[in-house]
Amino acid sequence: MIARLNYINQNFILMTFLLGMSFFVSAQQVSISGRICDQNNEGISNAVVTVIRSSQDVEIMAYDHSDSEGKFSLMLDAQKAGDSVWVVVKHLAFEPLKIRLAAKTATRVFKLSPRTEVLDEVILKSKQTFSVRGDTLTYAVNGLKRGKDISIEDVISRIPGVSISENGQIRYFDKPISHLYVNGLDLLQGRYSIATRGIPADAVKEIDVLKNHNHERIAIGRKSSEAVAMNLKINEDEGVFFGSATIAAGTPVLTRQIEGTPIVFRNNFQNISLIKHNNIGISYRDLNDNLISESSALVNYDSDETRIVRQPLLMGSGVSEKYWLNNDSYAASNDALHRIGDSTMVKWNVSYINDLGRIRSGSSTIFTGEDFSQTVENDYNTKLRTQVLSANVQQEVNKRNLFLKNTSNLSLNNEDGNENVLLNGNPINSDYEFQNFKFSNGSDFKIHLGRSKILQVGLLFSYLQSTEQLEVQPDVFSEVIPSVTPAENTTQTFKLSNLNAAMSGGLNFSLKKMEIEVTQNLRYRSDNLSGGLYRGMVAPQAQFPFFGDLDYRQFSSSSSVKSRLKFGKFNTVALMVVDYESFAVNENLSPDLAIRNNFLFFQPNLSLNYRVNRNWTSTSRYSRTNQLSRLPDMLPSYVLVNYNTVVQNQLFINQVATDALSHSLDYFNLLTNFSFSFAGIWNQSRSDILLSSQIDSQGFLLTEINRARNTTLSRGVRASIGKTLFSKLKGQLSYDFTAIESNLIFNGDFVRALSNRNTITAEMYWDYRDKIGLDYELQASFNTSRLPSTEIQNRMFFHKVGMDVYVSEKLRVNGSLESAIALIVGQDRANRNTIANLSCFYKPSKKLSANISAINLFDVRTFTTTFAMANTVSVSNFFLRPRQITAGLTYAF
Amino acid sequence: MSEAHFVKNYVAHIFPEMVKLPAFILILFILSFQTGDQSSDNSRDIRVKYTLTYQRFADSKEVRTVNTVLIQNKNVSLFTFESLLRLNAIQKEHAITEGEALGLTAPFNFLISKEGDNLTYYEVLGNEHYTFKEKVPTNWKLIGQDTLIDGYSCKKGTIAYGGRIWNAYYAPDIPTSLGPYKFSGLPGLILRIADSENKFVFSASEVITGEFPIDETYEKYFVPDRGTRVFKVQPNEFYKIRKQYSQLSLNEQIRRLNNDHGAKVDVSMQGLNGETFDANKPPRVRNFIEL
Repeated sequence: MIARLNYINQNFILMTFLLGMSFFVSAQQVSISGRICDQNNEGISNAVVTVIRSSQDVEIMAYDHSDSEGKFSLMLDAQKAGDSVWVVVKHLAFEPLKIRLAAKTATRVFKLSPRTEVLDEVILKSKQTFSVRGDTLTYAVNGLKRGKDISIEDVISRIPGVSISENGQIRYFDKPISHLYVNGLDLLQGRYSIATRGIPADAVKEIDVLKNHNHERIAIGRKSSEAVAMNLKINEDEGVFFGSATIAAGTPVLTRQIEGTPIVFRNNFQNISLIKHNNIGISYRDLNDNLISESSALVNYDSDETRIVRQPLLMGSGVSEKYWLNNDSYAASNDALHRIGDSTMVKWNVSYINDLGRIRSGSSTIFTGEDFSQTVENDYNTKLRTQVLSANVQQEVNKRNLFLKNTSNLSLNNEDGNENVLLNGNPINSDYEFQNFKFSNGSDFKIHLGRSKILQVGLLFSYLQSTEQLEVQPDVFSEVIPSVTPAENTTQTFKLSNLNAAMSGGLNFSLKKMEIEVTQNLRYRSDNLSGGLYRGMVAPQAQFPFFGDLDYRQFSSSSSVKSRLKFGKFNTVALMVVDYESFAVNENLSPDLAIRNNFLFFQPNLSLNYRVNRNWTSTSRYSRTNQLSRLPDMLPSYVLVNYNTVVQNQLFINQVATDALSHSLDYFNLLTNFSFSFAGIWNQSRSDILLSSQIDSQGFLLTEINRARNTTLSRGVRASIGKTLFSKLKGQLSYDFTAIESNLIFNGDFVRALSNRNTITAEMYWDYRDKIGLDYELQASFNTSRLPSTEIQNRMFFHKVGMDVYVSEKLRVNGSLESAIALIVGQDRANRNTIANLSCFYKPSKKLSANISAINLFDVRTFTTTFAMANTVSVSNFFLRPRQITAGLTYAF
Repeated sequence: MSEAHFVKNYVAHIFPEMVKLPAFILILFILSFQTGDQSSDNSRDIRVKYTLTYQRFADSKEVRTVNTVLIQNKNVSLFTFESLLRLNAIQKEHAITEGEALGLTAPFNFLISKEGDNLTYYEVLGNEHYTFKEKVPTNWKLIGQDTLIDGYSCKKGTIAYGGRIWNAYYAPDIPTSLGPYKFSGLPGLILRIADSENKFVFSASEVITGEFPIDETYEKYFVPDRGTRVFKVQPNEFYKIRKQYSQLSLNEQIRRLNNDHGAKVDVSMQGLNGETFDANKPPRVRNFIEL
């Protein structure tokens, strides 16, 4: 009995203790529970209930959502809750309720009132930016476009990985795109900047980025490709006829710009016309530049435009040509495409460019040797007019088992220019002329032979004729160039005719997991280059070494085997090229100057790519290439290259063998748009030529070519990091270091020059809710030219800052500053220049925009940059256009 | 039977005296309580479209996108692929055609239904339908980090689920605890959620309100097959089955599909160029949301 009583007592004590403990524990927490209901006492489900410390607080202490009966339950830490807390109840269909409660356990009923405003049907509609389907990334233009974008080029530049150069070339992760299609058709080929700059941003619905792209249908699924293309999809409601037109005028009187790009798009017909004129510093010389890398096997065999004499320099560096180029430019072109059926296309193009450019500039160049230093001062007034007329017809059949393309080109080029120079205080006038006619026809044929075999055949034929003339007053190099009578000018003339024919054959096939491509190319080239250098008005009898008449014949055979193999995480591409070159060169004015030479080269190229994981890749590359002297390098006669430089080559064929090795580590995350890359580069070139230059006190340079073994070594590292958040934020930072060691003979001394270049570039733009936009670019260069006993350092800092303020949805004000600091270390002063611009844009509708711009607001007169190479450092000044104020209208129709 | 009749019979059974009142007065009196909102319109339907960006295979950084849809209808929500919703809508009108079946495929054949804190998961592997119930993951950790998504100020929450860490951004100004897939329970609509390795990213692209009825016959969201079998399993059991299924070669999958019909099938495939494909080759390793 007593034992039983004791047992009962023990249990009682234990139960009391346990109950007491639970009460004690629950006293540390506060429970708020209850029910959310409407005015009719009906429970409200899915209401969000949160508890915060004060009415302004954002940190949530506890939260819950109501169940189907409107019930909820929250637990709070009593110590953190304090004396009171705020309970916030929210629901989409009801007005929010915020109420203060004592921080103690309680059960409450919260009644919500219906919203006074009708709930929007659409609560959120995201600007969907991109979607992925296989190798195609599709970007919605609405998700990328900013308010200030006028042409589709402005939008394309916002795609992560894309950069666009001044001439309009689009690069995707540093690789030029292979095609730009519009609605799936390749109208403009390499001249696609006409479309990207002429098609209004609002006319395009989506932009496709096509990775691993094969334009030729015969290659799809049969041959790998690393090419990247883009496709612009025009809005369906844009209509058949659209485009844009711009007109602007201002001071100084009369600054003007007129542009029109009418576009016609039908199912089987596309046409883009272009008519442009301006004198506000925009040159059209690059309009016909080929911006794509051609895939044809014979592209390397097409005749180059060979120039012997340097054309007048129209070049400013560091800032856009709109600040320093005085111009009068006209351009007109028309491109049309007819589609016949699903696979046949005929394209034709005609274009005319008439571009007059003028620039005033000056430079101070320091030439250094072992124990001397000489400065050459130049002041230039340069003028160059370029006229180009070209026509092009192309037929293409692009089928699954057959590809056929034929392209015919005709171009006429005329340039005339003038350089008025003060060379170390001495006036010199130099007149330049160049005419060129070229016709070429190229054909590509590919056929599928079963399984993955593709047979390809190509043919190329071209004919080129050109003339050049340079006339310098007063006469120059009188101690070198004889004249029987006193002369007032020195003249250099050249005439070139070139015939070129090439053919190629190739076979693509697969062997187990390996893709193999075998090609054989043959080429025959015949040139005649004649010219003369003389003083006086009348050319004397042609005599070597001041006159030349060179016959040049070259036969080339190139055989290559390329294999591509993927195994595991490795991807290898191995290429072996065997080149045979045979030359026959005769100087007809000096019969003992003739060479017959044959060369056989083995040129391996190996690339090994290792995919470390989803985002990291590592790539190693090695290549050996051999280059032989070009035709102008073989001229054994004296050549007046420009007003102060004479060169005399030797008649022999120089071979430059280059070994290049690189290794890179890359990271790219498509979803977070973060990229990082690091690369090391090593190049060594060995040639049989050493340049020997003599410069006199008046700044005239005489260069001879000596046969001597010469090695140039280049090493470098490159690192970059970037982050993009589509239209909101983009940042890119990169560092580039290059060290170049080279040899030359200068004023009788052998010079081993070391140039170190360090360049930091940074780019950022940031957009805050389409209210404020900020653009910033920085380029900082730190260069050193080092000889055994001397060293020259130069620095260049270039900043570009732009700010957009959106006063309203239609009105935007933009201000920008471009500034540069150029200095040579050790000199007294640094050259600092800042150009300020202010613009105001008003866009009352999607189709119309107006602007007023003031360029070079503070009327800065000159801009200075600096550059170093081998044993020279130069500081250049460019005279800028005066302050310019223009008002313009752009209409998208 | 009309409502009025039902009420009258019910009342007559319970309150005999009342039957003496004129019937139409009684009916009107009772019906007057039936007028007005059956329930106040306090849970207007919501439809959220999420873009799912995912890495399909474990050995590749290739990324794909697909549209998914979340619908909240009173107390029940449904999450599935836009293509499966379309399949369901088509089957309400007519039998599905071969072209429609081929054109409306989804990367994963599942749907998720939630009610309160419980969810029902339904997935089709081959011609086998699997379903299980589990609790909605709710052990969120709120992080005081603000971000702006599509104009909405969002806060961050993290959760561990399925062997992954998930980072979610929710908008307190859209007061609903909804989210994609199995994720919900935050004090605001989840506008974006991704695992820490960004293999699966859900981004809200559209939120609209209106009337969006949900068909709770889940078989109707998939291509019908004669003799559909539904297996009720436990979650872990299902993940094992799914992993095993994903490791079957094409030949093994097709044999499994035809098991019931007593046929032994062997597949051989030839491409357009005459090349042969090995149907017995093990497939690439797939990524799934749950590890």
